[in-house]
Amino acid sequence: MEGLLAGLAAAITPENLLFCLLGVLVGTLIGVLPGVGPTATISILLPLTIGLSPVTAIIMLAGIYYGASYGGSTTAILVNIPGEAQSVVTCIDGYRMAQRGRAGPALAIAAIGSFIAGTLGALGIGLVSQPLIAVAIRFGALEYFALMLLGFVVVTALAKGSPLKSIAMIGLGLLLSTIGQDVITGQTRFTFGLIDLIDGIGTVTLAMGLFGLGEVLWTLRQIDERSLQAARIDRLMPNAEEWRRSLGPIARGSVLGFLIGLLPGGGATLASFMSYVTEKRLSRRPDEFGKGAIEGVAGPEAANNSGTAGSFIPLLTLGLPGNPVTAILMGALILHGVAPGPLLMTNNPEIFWGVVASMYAGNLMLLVLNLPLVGIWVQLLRVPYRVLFGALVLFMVIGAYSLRSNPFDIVLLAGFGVLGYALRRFDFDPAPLVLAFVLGDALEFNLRQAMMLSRGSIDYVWTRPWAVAIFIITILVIVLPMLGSVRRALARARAANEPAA
Amino acid sequence: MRRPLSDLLAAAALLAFGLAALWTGLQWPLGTMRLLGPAAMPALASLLIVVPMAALVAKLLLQPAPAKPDEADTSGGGWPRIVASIAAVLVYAAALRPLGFLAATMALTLFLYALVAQHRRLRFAVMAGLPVAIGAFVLFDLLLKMPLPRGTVWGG
Repeated sequence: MEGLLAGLAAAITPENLLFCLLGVLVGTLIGVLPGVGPTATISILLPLTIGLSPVTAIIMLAGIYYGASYGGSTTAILVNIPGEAQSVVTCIDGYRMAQRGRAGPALAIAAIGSFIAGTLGALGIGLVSQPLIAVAIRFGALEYFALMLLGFVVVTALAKGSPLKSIAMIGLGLLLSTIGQDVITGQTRFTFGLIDLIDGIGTVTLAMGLFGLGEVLWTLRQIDERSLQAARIDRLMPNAEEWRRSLGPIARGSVLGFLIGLLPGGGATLASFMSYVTEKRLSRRPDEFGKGAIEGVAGPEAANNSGTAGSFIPLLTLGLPGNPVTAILMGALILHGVAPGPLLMTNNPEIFWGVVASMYAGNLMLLVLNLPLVGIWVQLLRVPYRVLFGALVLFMVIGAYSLRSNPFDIVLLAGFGVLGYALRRFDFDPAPLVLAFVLGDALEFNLRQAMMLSRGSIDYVWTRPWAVAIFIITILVIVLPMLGSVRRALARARAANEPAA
Repeated sequence: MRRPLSDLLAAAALLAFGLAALWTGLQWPLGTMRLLGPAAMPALASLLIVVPMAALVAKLLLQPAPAKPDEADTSGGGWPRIVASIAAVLVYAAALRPLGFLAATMALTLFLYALVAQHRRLRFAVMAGLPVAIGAFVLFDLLLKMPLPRGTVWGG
């Protein structure tokens, strides 16, 4: 409680509140606009935060992440276009409600459910983190290696396309992470004599290229005037029946989403799909799902917001990002000289609790702003992509240059942009690549350290019970998808995980 | 629908890349089980590319030919714009220090907007590109005070 109060004190300065507001507004904006996701946006804006304090920077960037969840639901309900992958399932019943003249209640329930779940998720971070840190303090190299392996397996299960392609993407990400100087022996690897590659490739440049420029190039293929017919919004507030039917799904979605968000590799998209499947199974009117059941909006929207909050826990407590967005946020923390991990709460409590406390403020801002501003968000969809295109490319180019004031980073950006385009063209999901890239250095370091400690003997594993437990969970994650219902839910989540981040 | 041939080519290209990376990486010491060398992770990563892609290539080669001809591949259009955009970014990287931020950025935005204009290319490029370039200059140079090049040709 003292930590949370200290966090509130750190978060509710006028400067931090202003940047929190900026972050959630930008997040909502990019959530509304298909084609630009939170990963690319955070990567693009990250270099601009160098002049800010670490607390302020992370508050703003985190605001973009959960703001995008709110924005994505607006377009999902009004125009049947999911702004983000985690809003795909909201299209199913949300748009049907809008077609029946219930757009206002759908938006209201989505916003209120998101607020409740996001707030509960922030509370959950505070409750779960300290016990988790108490365990994580005892983690050694083998446990961290096992956790990263679990993250790779989960992200492979969720990634779009075939598992063979996802495994190859993990390999490619790990390979790219080895470029530069080996920290243990000093051997330069894959630099081909280029001094600019001695320090390796920056996470921001890679992410901007793959998700930002790659996405822009993909959209360039069929750039056209966007003209959307949004559903009319009459009454905004749900009736008593809709409130009553929504409370259970919101509560269940909040818990389910948070738990799924905790998993390395888990996050908002899987959370929203699992919530939909759960609500349909529990509903007394399952035949209404797909035709405008409010439970099909309330549950998933709550789940994707609490999943977003939950996904911060592995990052803040273990220093292990579970998805591309938190991977970029980890890059942001490192850029600001902060080491995420079990000691973050001790060494930088203002950052840890500041981020948690800002989620309360951010979720409140989103609830207050989103419903009155919904008309403006819909108008933004009418802005032709041609107008955005040049500005997006320019921002990315400047962002890449600003990292080291080196034009070579612009060349790298272009290269990764081409790679991002090619991956989309041939149905390879870039998410495993980014996760593997971000974790590659740590994975190699922990693997080598674990091998040293084991003296090359497998018996060492049995002396580390936490590592054994994590390996068992990893095996279960591989085996469980073979069960029918879980396989179906994962297939739907995989289909929705377009690289629109 | 995408033709299986393009899938096969993509998998084969990635397989070749993985083999090249494996061959390059093995020039460094692999080390021992106790003390892994600098080649260990590159070798492992390369195998994570080579093995699945070899399996995918084999799968695609062994799968029966479709009963009806594939539909035309419509997913690869817009090549000229894509190539031109990348070329523009690369030229920008080369020209940034000599020309300076403002001049290079104006040239880039004018080109990019001319590239995507539907009608009246020059007018659209000027109407959209100039405000974006000037706005970026105001934001990054004047407000955020980022250290941006002034241009060696102008004596900066």
